[in-house]
Amino acid sequence: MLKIILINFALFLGTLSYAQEPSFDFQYKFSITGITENGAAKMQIDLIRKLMGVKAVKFDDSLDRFIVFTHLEFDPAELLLKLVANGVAIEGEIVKIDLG
Amino acid sequence: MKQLLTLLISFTIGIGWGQTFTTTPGTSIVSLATISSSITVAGVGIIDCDYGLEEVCIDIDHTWDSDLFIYLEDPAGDLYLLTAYNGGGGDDYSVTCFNMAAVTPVSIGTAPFNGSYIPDGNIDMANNGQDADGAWTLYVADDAFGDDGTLTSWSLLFSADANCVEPTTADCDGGTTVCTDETFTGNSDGDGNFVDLDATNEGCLSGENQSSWYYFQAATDGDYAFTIETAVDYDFAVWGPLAAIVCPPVGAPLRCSFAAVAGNTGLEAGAGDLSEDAFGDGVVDPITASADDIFIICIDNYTADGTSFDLTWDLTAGASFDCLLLPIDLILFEAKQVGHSNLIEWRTVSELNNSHYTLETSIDGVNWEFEADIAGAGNSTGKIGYEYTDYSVENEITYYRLSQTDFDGKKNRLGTVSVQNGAAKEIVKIINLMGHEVDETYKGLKVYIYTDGTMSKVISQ
Repeated sequence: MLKIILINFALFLGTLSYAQEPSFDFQYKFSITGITENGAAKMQIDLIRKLMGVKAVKFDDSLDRFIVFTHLEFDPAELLLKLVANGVAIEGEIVKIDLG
Repeated sequence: MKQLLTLLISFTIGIGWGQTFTTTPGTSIVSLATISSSITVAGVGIIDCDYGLEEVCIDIDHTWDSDLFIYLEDPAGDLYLLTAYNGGGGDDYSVTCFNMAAVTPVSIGTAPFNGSYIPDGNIDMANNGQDADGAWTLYVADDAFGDDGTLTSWSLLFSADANCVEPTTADCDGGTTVCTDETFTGNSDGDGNFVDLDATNEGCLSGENQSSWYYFQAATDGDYAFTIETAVDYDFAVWGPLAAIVCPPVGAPLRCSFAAVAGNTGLEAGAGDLSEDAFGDGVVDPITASADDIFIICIDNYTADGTSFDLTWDLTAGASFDCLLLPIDLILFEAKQVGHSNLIEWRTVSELNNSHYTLETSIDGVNWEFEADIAGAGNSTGKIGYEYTDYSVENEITYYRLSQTDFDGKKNRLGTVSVQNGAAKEIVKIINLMGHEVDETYKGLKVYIYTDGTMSKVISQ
């Protein structure tokens, strides 16, 4: 039922023709081994987007940390396993912040 | 998999030609589960406003149709809702076709569904310039306990009779013409309704994330530079010089920056390069243009977080913009009754200095009342569609008058249309699928029953 509601909602959003301010429910912050520079970070972002099914991702160069903004809720431990299993060498833990 | 895939290509002589792809999976539909069935499309290629997906047909045996939520996924992963919980306690979708040109919305149809219906979603959105070759998947979700069925067959029809949706400012075709050197603010909520970039033309970019498209034309020879001021990672590409705006742009961009640095980017004298990858410094060389040269710009928020930008021009060596654009060119202005409202639509193919539209209503075509102001596009040379819904329909005939006001206050009347609504009907009561009376705030499918005995079904989310 939840899946149906989510799909329905996604389809509804897809029909909107006007610009909306994005709103995000969660932030996920993590570092990737060896990624300490913007250019190298950008080469990882498309893979992160694909694996997490998200769009808004940025790299904080001062802390060498990726920040993912999304309405999707992940369990940090499960997310860590998924990213690592797909070749993303997460360094340390994934920090989840509920923006709600 | 017990799916049996068959491929039929049909040629309809005299009308045009189409390609139909059919599969006969015979898959059981079980309560509280979702099944899927795929068709591999080959030999269709790019689908757009000229040739694309026209129709999706399904043949489903199922008792109590309103258990079903059926949607289609295209090769790019985008979803299109075909029907959601329609048909009440009736049975079957018996050779039911979903076509945006159909007359009856499936939401007000009755089971057994047979023939053509307008889907709950918009399948025209699939005709967005994507490559149709690949897997198309139909999902059938049975969202209630107690009734089962079978997905007997389904098909896709691609033809020249297909339509498409209007471009947005996040599409090349919906771009905004820049004709002053004043700083402007831009933003976008996505990558638009059309696929404008691919390996042949994206240059240093990596597709679109949250893009905005602009055009400019040089009035004089000179050097054209700009700075995109922002706090996040914006990229851009410029195509040209062109003799006319062509969308999507053809070939590699003239200038391109995919620099990963968060913050300002743009064209800057002394940058020393014409294109740069993620490791670039954010600036590439200015454009030296000749009078009348046209350029297309795509500005893309790679971070995709909704942060806006300000674009500031730096015109040197005699550079200036050509603003000799056409005035507002209105190609459509019509009004029609939709349910218990009137839908007023208009389209332009160009706008110059257009602040806003004003819509007025009248019951006699003589005495007019203000209805609404609708923001104009400012300056644009792309097709733009506008619509306004009048929910306060009370008269047999309602007249609508449209006018336009420039930024300098000059007002131009664009036209008048009318809608014949007949005698207004009143709602007797509203019921849900269980037959219980509900009010207009009820979420889900509800049936409106009117004084003249007619009914309509509405889904509220």
